Amino acid sequence: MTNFFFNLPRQFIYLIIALAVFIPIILGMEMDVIPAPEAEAVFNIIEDLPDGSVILFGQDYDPSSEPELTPMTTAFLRHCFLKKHLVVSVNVFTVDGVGLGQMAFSKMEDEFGVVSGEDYVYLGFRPGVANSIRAINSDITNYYKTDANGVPSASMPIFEKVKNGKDVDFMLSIAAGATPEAWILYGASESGYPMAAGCTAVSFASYFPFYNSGQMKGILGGLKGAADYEELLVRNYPEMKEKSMFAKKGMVSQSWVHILLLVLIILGNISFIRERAITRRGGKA
Amino acid sequence: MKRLLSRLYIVSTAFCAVLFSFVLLSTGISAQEAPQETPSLRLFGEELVRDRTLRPESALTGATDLVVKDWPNDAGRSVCVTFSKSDWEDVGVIMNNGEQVTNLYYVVDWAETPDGLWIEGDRFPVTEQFIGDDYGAFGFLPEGYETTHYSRVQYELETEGDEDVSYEETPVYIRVGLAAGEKMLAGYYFPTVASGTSHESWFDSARKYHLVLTVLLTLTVLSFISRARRGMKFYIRRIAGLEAVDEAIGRATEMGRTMFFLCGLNPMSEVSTIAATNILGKVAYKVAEYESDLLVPCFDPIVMSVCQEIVKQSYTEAGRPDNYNEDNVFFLTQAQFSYVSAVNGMMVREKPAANFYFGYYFAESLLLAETGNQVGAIQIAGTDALVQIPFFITSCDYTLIGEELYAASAYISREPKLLGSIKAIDMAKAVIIVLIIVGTILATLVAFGGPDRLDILRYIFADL
Amino acid sequence: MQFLKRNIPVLIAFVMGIAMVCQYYIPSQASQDFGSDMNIWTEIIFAFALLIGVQSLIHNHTNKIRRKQVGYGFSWAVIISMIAMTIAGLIGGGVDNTKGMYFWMFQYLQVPMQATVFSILCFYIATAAYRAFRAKTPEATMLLIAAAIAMLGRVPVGTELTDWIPLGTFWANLRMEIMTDWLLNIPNTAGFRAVMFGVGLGIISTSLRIIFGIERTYMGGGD
Repeated sequence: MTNFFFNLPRQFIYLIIALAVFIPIILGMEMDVIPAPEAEAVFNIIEDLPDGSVILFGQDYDPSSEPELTPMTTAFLRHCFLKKHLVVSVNVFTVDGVGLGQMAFSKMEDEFGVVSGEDYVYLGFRPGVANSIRAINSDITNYYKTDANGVPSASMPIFEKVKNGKDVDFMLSIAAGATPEAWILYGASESGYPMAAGCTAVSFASYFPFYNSGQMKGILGGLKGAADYEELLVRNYPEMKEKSMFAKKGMVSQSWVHILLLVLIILGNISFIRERAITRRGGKA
Repeated sequence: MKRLLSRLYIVSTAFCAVLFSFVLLSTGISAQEAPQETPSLRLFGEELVRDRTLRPESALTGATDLVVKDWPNDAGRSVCVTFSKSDWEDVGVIMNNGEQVTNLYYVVDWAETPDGLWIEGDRFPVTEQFIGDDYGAFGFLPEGYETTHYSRVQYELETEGDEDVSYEETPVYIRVGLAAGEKMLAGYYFPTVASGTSHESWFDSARKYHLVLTVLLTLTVLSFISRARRGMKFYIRRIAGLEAVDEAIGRATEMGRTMFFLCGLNPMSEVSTIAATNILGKVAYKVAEYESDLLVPCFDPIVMSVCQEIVKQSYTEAGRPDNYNEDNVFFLTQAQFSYVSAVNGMMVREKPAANFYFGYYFAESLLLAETGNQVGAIQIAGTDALVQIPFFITSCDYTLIGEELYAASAYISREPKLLGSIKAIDMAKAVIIVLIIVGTILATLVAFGGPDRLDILRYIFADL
Repeated sequence: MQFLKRNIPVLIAFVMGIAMVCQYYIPSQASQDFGSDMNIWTEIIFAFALLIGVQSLIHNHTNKIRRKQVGYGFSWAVIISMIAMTIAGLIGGGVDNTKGMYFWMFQYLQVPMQATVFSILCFYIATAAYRAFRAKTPEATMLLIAAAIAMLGRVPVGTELTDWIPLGTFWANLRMEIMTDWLLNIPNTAGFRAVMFGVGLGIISTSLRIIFGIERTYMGGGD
C-alpha cells in the first residue's frame, strides 16, 4: 500500500484529477475571488473611460483555448457594452477563431441589443499579424473591406468615429498565442493606444515584463483572470449577478486541482527522500 | 481499390484547387462591390450631439499660444499642436450648473478653412500629454517639457477631381476646445485658431540611436566572422543537449526505430523556425549517415517545402540520396491541437526512439513531450518560447534554453564563421549588462531626487 | 543549377533583408507602401502554400490507405472529415452564416474536439509535476516553495488560507495573493527579461547570418 502511494500509476492520477474537476462543477459550488491587481487595472481602465469610447478588441484565440478564454471575452464585452463603448474587433491569430468571435458577439446582441456596424463590428481574420495590425493603424476600412459576415464596412456608422488606431481609446488582446507582443510592437507603439492582454494561464507569467514596463496596462491570466473580471463586474453592476458566471464556478475546480497537485508533489518528494535514504543505506530503492 | 484511391486523390486535389480559386475570386469581387455610402453615427440608439448649454461658470483662457507644426518622422498628413498649460487644469472648473468638474478633456479639432467644417482630431485629459512624454518627437527634456501640452492630429484633405492636394502647401486649421464630465458633451472652444502644414520625412530621427546600435552590432558580427575566417579560435561552452544529438540518433539506429523532428508552430518568416530548420539540416545529415529513419511532421506548408529540400540535400551530402523519402516530410494541419493529436497518435503507433523539438511552441509543448516521454524516447528540445521552457525541462532529457536554439547550428557544424557570430553576440551581451547597471544607477539617482537630465539612457533607448 | 538554387536565393535574401531594414528607418509614404506590398506578397504566398499543404495531406493519407499502414482507418477519417466540412461550407456558407451546417459543425464538433485535446494538458501537468518536481538541490527546493505559493495564491482556496491576516500591516506581505504578486512581478519578471535579452540577440545574430549569406542551411544543404 505504501509503495502504491509513492509510485502512483499515471491512470490513477488522471482519475483523481478528473474527479477534482467534475465534482465541484456538477455540485455547482462557488467561492469568492480576490481580484488580482493586474486584472483590476484592466477593469478600471474600461470603467474610467467616458461612455462611448472606442475599444479595439483582439479576439486572438481558437477553439482549443475556448474554455479558458471565452469567459474572459464574455465578461470583458459585457463590461464594454454596459459602459456603452464602441467595440471594433478583429482576430489576427487564426481563421479558426472567427466562429468563436461570431458566437461571442451574437450572445452580446441577445443580452444588450447591440447592433453590428453601429455599436460594434467584428471584422474577422486576415492572414499576416503585422500587416493586419499596421493596417488598423492607418485605415481600418481600406484593409477590412467587409466584416466577418461579408457586410461592407465602409458604409457602417461606427467607422464614422473610428478611422484608424489613433481613434482607439483602449485595446485588449485576448490571445492563445503571442499576438499581444505583436500588438505592442506594431499597434500600441505606433498608434499610441494603451493596451492590455488576456491570456491562457500558461502564458500569464510571460507578460509581466511588459506589464512592469508599462507597455501593458493590465493582464487577465487564464480562468482566474476571467473570474477576477466577473467578480469586479458583479461588485460594480449588481444586475450582472443574474448572468451566468462560468469562470467563478470554474475556480472551485481549479482550487481543488491546485491543492491536489500540491499533494502529489509532496507525495513525490516523500517518495524521492525515502528512495534516497534507502540508497544511502545501501539497500534497494 | 488502388485505382479508386488514385482517382480520389486526383479528384480531391483538383476540387481543392477549384475551390481555392473560387474563394480567391469571390473575395476579390466582394471587395470591389463594397458600396460607399455616407454613414450616420448612432450610439446605442442616441444621436451623438454636443451639449452647448453646459459651460464653465466664468470664462476660461487657454491655448493662447497655439502652435501648429509638421509632426516629425512620419509619412505626412499629421500635424503637431502645442500650447501651454493653464492654471485651472489641476484644480478643475466650476460649471454653470454649479458642479465642479475635474475630469476635463482638451478636444483638438481640425478644418480645411478657418470657418469650415471642424472635425475632432484628438481628445486627451487636461492633466496629460506634455512634450516631455514623447522623446521621439520633441527630444530629451525640451524647454517647457512639463508645462507644454502636445497633440498629434491626423487629417485628410479633400481632393478636387483626380488631382492630389499638396499637403506641404495647403494649410490645416486647428482649434482647441474643452470637454467636461463623463458624458463628454459640453463644447467650449478657445478663440485662437492656428494653421500649419505637414510633410513626409525620409528618415526617422527618433530611431537614430537604434540605427547606430544596429550598425555597431552588425560591424561587430562581421568583424568576428572575419577573424574566424582568418583562423582565430573561439571557445564556446559545452551545450549538453547538442552533444546528445549523436547519442540519440545512434540509439535509434541500434533499436531500429524511427525518429521525429518537429520545427515548431511558427511560420517560415520567424527566425526561430529558420533556426530549427538549420538544426534539421545537421540532424538529417547524421541520420542519413547512420541510414536511419527521420519523420518530419510539419505545421506549415511552406515550412514543409523548406524541410523537404533541406532533408533531401542532407541525404545527398551524406552520400545516401537514394535513402531519401519525400513522404517522410509531410504537412499535417494548421490547427494547433489537431496537429498535437496527429503527432501524438503517430508517436504512440511508431514508438520513436528519439524526438527532437526545435523552434517555437505554444501550449502543445507538454502534450508532445509527455507523450514522447511515455513511449520512452530520448527527447531533446530547444525553444525560445519562454513559457514553454519549464514544460520541456520537465519532460525532455535535454533542453536548449532561449538563445541556445540560435547557437545550435553553429555549435553542431563547428563552422568558424558561424561560431564567430555567436562570439560577437556575447560581446553585445556584455555591453548590454554594463548599460543596464549604469542605467539602473542613474534611474535610482533620479528617483532619489537627482536631476531629471541624469535619466539620459531612458531617452536614448526609448525607441528600442 | 547551383546559380539558381544557391546564388539567386542568397542574393534575394540579402537584397530584401537590407531593404526591409532600411524601410524600418524611412517613414515616408513610399516606404510604408513598400512594406505593405511585401506583407501582401507574404499573404499571397501563404495562400498558395496552403494548396501545397492540402496536396501533401491528401497524398500522405491516400498512400497510407493504399498501403494499409498501421492506423490507416484514421486516414479515412481525415479524408471524409475534410470533404464533409468542405461540402458543408459550400452548401450552407462559411462562418458568416451562423445558422448554416458549417457553423454547426464548427460549434459542436471542432470546438469541443480541440478544447478536449487542450484540456488533456491538465492531466499531463499533474503527472509531470508528480514525476519531476523533486527537491533535489537547495535551488530546486526554493523553486518548489515558490511554485506552491504561486499555485495557492491564484485560487480562492489558497487565498482563504491567509485572509485572516489584516491588510495594511507589515504581516499582510505574508498573504498568499500578495506573495504571489511579488513572485510574478519581481523574480519572474527579472528571469524573463534576462532570457528575452538572450533570445533577442540570438534572433539578431541569426538574421545577420541569413542576410549576409553566412547561414544557408535553411535553403537546403550546408554552407
